[in-house]
Amino acid sequence: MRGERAERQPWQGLWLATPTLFWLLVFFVLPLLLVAVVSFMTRAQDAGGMLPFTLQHYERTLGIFSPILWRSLRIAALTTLLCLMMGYPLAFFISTRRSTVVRSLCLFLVILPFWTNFLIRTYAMRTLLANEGTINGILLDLGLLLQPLRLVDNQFGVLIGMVYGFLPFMVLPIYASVERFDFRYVDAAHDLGANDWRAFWRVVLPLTMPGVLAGSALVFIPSVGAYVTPVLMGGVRGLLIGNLIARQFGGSGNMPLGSAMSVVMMSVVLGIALLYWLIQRFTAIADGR
Amino acid sequence: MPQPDVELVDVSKEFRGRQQDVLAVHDLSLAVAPGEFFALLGPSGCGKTTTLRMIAGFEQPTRGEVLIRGVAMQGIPPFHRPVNTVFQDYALFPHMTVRQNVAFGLRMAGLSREAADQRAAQALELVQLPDVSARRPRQLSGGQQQRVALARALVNEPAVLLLDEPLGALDLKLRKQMQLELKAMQQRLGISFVYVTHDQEEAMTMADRIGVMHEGRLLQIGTPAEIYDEPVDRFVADFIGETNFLEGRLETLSAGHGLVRTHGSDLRLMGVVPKERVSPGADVTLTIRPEKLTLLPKEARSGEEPGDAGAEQHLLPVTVVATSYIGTDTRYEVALGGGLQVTVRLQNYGARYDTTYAVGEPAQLRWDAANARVLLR
Repeated sequence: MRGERAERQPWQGLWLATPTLFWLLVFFVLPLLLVAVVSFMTRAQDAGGMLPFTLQHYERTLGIFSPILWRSLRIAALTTLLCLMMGYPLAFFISTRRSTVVRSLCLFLVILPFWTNFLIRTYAMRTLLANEGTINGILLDLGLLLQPLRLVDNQFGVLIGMVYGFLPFMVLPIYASVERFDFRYVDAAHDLGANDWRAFWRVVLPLTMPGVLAGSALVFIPSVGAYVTPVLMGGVRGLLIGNLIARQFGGSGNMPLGSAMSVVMMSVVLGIALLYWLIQRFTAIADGR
Repeated sequence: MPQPDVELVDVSKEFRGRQQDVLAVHDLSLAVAPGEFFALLGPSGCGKTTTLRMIAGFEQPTRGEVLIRGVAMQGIPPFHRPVNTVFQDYALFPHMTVRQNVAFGLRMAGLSREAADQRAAQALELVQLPDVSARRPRQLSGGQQQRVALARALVNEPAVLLLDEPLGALDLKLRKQMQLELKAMQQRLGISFVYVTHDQEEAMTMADRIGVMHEGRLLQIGTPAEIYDEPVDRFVADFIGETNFLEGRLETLSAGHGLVRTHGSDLRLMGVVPKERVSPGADVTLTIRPEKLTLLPKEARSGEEPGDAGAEQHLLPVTVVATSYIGTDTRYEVALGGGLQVTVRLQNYGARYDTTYAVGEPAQLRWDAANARVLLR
């Protein structure tokens, strides 16, 4: 297989990819370049961009708006961590079921939420968690609380919503990794004196790391630019960089500033993706692959 | 016998199945002496690997007891047992270097990295692989991986080394070489080995004693010679080497020898009766190895050929049905009459095969009772 592939010319069969390439060129690459150019322009009366070129939007993004950027990265990192801590055990549980029927059923349940619109599900979450929502209502009625817990309209609400929304993206790649994991390595570790805990840290986790890295990337990257969840679950106190950017493209906004924010956000995500790729590459080389 | 390194007392293992429980190991008892090379031999599915896994602690016996150096292992997890395993397909950790693999057990035992690395290097020298310590398992050949697996287990100085078909993945030539090396290493280190294999030749080559297993039961334990020459069970006789079977009824029994009247034809043949409760009238199987039968010209008479003095001998008229020349010896299928047929192997001593018998030729079959075994059916 590999030999056959190597003998082909690099461009042979390129036409198979042309529709997609064309689509991405027109609707992704060109707009992206436009955003990059606009980010260096001066704000016009209609919130658009005009000459001369300036760096002031980058100064503002990295200056007064940097707390929002940090908050977005922090919440994305927390979301990833929580998804990992809940998703790994779950994926481990599912992939170690002996019956294929049970495994399929569990996986089906994991992806079941995708059958409903994300917006509707987030509204439902809000209904559950709001001050006058279901959870607070029950707790107040039972007399366990004197006043409602603030579960939404803050960063906590955003975190709950994002972990809920992104958990399947963590579970599925880890599931694939653990399912491929050969449990004879655990026997070998036990045989060599490692208890369950050490066998996990020294053998199981390193060998399922590809799934952990893939899941983390799939959760972290979209979390940084999340828009819907912060709006519905975060209120004013839970605003993230994605909301700030969206606001700049409205009527009284500032498109060059929004563009600069977008470029900075994309650069950060790209930088982290690069780091991820380097880690993977490094471990692959270390494995002699 | 001094205190055994491993002792299994009436060990049974049942696996819960969906339809019914499977009895993988049935009332198995054995003892492995210090420094002994013990082989568990049997076809796949006979329970030999399950037995090994119960010694290692990966499986718990349903009934019975496993003792290692006199200590009952009930409830003791694998990581607290003084045994190490060489796994089938080795199970070397792919994300670690060879050195890290070999040092793993020592690190788990609390040795410092320096001390563990030093001992790992010594272990790799022992298996004649000193130069690969920085490589990953997948960069090594099958034979090298096998040696690393051996080093990884031996470096922990286990009371017993357990080996689960460790040479199964190697090609024939390398396997033969490793058999001799393993045996030499075992004798040098003086560690007792429990070696699981389905390859009877491998077991015969290496083991001090062999336990033959079939359908969860240990049928016979003995030295390779005992297992081959004095099988106590039809399956054992059949599984080890090549043999002839003749069905019949035991007529008389005296001084350890039984006279058997074969079914179909009324031949009366003598064989050794193992120390078992066989009484006259029982249905039995006579077994004799092809190389322990001899063909003589039809006019020859008993006593003309040198035979075991005092042993019961029969000379039976036979007809050669088929021959095949296979270099070191020639195989003859001969008919005894009444539809009975046996295989005879005659070694080709001379430069010419001038003592051969042609197909259809009448001849005489010499049967030494000392070489035949009477087994219960």
